[in-house]
Amino acid sequence: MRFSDFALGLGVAVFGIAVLLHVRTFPEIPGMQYGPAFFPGLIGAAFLICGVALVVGSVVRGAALTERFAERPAWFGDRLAVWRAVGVVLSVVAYALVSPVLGFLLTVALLTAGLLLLMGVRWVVVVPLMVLLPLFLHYGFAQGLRVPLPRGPLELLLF
Amino acid sequence: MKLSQRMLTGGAVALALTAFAGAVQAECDWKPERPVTYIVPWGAGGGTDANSRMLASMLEAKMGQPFNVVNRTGGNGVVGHSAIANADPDGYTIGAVTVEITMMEHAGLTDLNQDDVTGIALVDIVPASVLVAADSPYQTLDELLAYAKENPGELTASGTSQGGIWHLAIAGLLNAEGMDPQAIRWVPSEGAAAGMQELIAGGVDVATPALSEGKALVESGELRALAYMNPTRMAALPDVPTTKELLGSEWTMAAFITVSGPKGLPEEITCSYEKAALEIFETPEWAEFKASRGADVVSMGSADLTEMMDQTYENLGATMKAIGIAK
Amino acid sequence: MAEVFELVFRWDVLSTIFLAACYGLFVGSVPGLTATMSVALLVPITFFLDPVPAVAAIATASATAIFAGDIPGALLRIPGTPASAAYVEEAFALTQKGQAERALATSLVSSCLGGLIGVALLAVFARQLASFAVKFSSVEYFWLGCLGLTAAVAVSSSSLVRGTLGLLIGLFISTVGIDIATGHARFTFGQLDLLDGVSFIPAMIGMFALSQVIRTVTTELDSVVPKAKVGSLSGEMVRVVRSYWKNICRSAVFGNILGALPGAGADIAAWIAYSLSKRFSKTPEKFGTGHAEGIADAGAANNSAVCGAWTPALVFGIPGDTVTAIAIGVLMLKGITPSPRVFTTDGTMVYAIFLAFALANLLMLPLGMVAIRVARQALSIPKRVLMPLILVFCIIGAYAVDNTLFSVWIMLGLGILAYFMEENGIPIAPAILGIVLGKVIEKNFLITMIKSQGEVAGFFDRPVAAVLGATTLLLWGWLVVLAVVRAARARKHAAAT
Repeated sequence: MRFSDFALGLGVAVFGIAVLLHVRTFPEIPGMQYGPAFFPGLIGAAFLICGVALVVGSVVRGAALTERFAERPAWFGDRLAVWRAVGVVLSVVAYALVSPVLGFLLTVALLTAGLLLLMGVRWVVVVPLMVLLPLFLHYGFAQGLRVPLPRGPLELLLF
Repeated sequence: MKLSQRMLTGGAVALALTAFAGAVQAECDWKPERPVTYIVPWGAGGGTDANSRMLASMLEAKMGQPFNVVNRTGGNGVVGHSAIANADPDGYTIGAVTVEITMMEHAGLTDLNQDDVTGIALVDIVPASVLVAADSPYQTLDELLAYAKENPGELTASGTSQGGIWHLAIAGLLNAEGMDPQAIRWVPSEGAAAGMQELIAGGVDVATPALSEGKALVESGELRALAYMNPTRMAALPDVPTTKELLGSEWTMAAFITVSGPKGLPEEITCSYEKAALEIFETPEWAEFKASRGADVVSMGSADLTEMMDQTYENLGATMKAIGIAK
Repeated sequence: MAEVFELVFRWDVLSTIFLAACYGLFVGSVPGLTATMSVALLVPITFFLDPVPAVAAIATASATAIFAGDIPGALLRIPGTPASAAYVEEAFALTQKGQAERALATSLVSSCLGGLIGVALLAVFARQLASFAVKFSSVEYFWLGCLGLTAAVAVSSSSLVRGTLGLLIGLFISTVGIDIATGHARFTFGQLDLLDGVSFIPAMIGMFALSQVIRTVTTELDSVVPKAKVGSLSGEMVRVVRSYWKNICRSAVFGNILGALPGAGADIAAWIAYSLSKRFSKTPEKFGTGHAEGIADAGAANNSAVCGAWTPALVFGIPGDTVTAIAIGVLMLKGITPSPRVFTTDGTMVYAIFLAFALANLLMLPLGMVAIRVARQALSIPKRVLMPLILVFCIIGAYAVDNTLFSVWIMLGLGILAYFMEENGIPIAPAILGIVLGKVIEKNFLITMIKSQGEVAGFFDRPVAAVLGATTLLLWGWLVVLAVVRAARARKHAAAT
């Protein structure tokens, strides 16, 4: 999603103002004008300035209202590409939600298989990868590097 | 299908056994059957981390399952302590609860306090110190305090975050001596090492970390220890006087490190870990490890530890109120 | 001296070094796992080894992983450390021209030489360097952080406004979490996991790796990396050394000094080295288009800074980062106390560690060449297969460091943000530097203010601070003048046509 300078500048400026308003609720260090609000406030102000600069720039160029506010990326027309992007994002979400229940091995096997199939990879390649990758990662991280990976039915069975 | 059935029955039997054991008398021979997660609320490489890793490795050898140390830092210890307190009390998550558990509720950071965890054993106790740079004009604690009394707010001290345990050490000391707790102003730092670096660099006048943390720099002559906030002197640095000798108020302050589990840890599991830990503290290996850090071996079980944490909660709460950092 | 060799040339030490080098190269070069994570996870495991193998393993893995992080950086635009983000665009531009070998050969040989020079400096000047480093108080760190940020803006090839926006996003992210002065939780929205701020490793994985995966699966799934034959790796390395030996030496010395500053040095050494390289280059216009000179400078500074970080750790027991913090723990466990006298009391041990360091850097040369070949082959795996695998690595890489699913969410959120930033021409590399340096700058600003009770004069009343501060302010002035001149020239140009 590509925004025009005008739209981007407007968004950035509004964000800057929101930050500036929010930092007013932060406590102060008694007897000092610099506290927890100072640095975020400075950043908020800088956001505001950058946003205004973008807006002014586009007005000066006369492009403020003639340009479309947001340009859809070309791949939006390609339905498969859209599904692939959604698949990538959803698989991260799925891992975060599902791995505590299904355990590491099962979740990663399912995700690997799902993603590979979504990319249009053939089963011949998918099956060995979905078996080997989780086991390999489990071996390296849980046994080798001692990271406590989420446990599920497969882990109970195997380890 | 068959497998899952077997697992189910197995689980039921185990459950019944545990219930039975609990009802009669704790046998203290529970052992983990899969890896245990050992949460450390402070960064890798610090004192809490080192003690906990050592203990975890020795527990692993004793109990036959991996003990995976995980550093969950942040929020002045709130993040890691919450992770310990909120874990399932099944014995598979334990952690290094430190003195901060008794302070964070007073500081208004969280509702968490020592009642949310089950103390298993005391691992280390580390008293504070008063350190100055080698080129500092102050040779004794008296000189330092006298100057601070006449020029309140001119001197600065560092060693931990605002309201952290070493901040309490100096502010509480000033308060106990009848001085303004702000007479030496606190400059927050991220941990003792950063505080001592500021001290060497001349950015602050005093640092008050654990004497064990400053030991190396004191021995090498970069820093001078004016006092040890403990009733007795440190064996490794016998020339450093104690606050009990120096001050009328006999003010002392120490941080502690424990091994603890979540609240509601079954008695059987608690006493099994307690037994294992206390046995480990008896070993020459542990003694050697402690000696390498210039610390004494401590040994305190669950019951005494729980009482000590309650006591500390009251004492530190009172101190924090007195110096105006309790919410 | 013979004792030193005896300590190191034992099969257990040598095999540890070899294994650690393989580990660092392998894990560091897997896109999505990141070099920073590989070191962070390995280091605690060495806690119970004997001191020489333990410290050798840590030193070896950090040296090799940092180089290895350049491999996915150059080939896929997924850098492994915040430091290598400084020159990732440059290396990737070379790859796009079909000269991946040149980028990686430059990176390898300059890392190796930088590391060796770093060790040599460490062995000779550790005492002096450390004494210099510990004289830095909060004021000096504040100015140093500002200098680092300035370097990021100065090298940014995008427009001033968009480059600044990238930086601001990073700086804003760095303000999330408990503030050091009052303990107030900022922008955490009640999330306990945010109290310590946005964790850095998941942030980096999300912003570089995940956003790159999204971009690839949507638009470049069938693209192949162009492959032009540029001659042998070793020939390429000889050429790099011949043309840029001065750059490598200069940046190695410079990186070592910066690296010795606990807390901030190692991260910004490569950034400043890269921007200095551009400043002093005879062909500054080639920078950003795939030019090896900047990579040579930054690579050397990078690995030399890793050595530098050990000086305050060994001499004063003040760790620069988690890696050296654990190393101190390992040493103390075996009765070696870091102190200024460590070179006399435990001299053999210390020099053994230096020797191991040097060996690791030498070993990196042949192993690194193998790694480059393998990685180059891995690139011929179709992206349809590669991208899902990288995504899985991203997830586990983000999860493994703090063992919390919250990190996975962080990675996802920042990955999507970074995707939109790139779409809109806002550069990501300055954002990463902003996340790293924002905390350093704010913390040291507030600490300085607390010390001086709000007096701005506190920022200039120490000699080193005054020099650093004046330099920073002059640089800012110069940047502004430059921007104004450029704008005026552009306007004149537009008017003429």
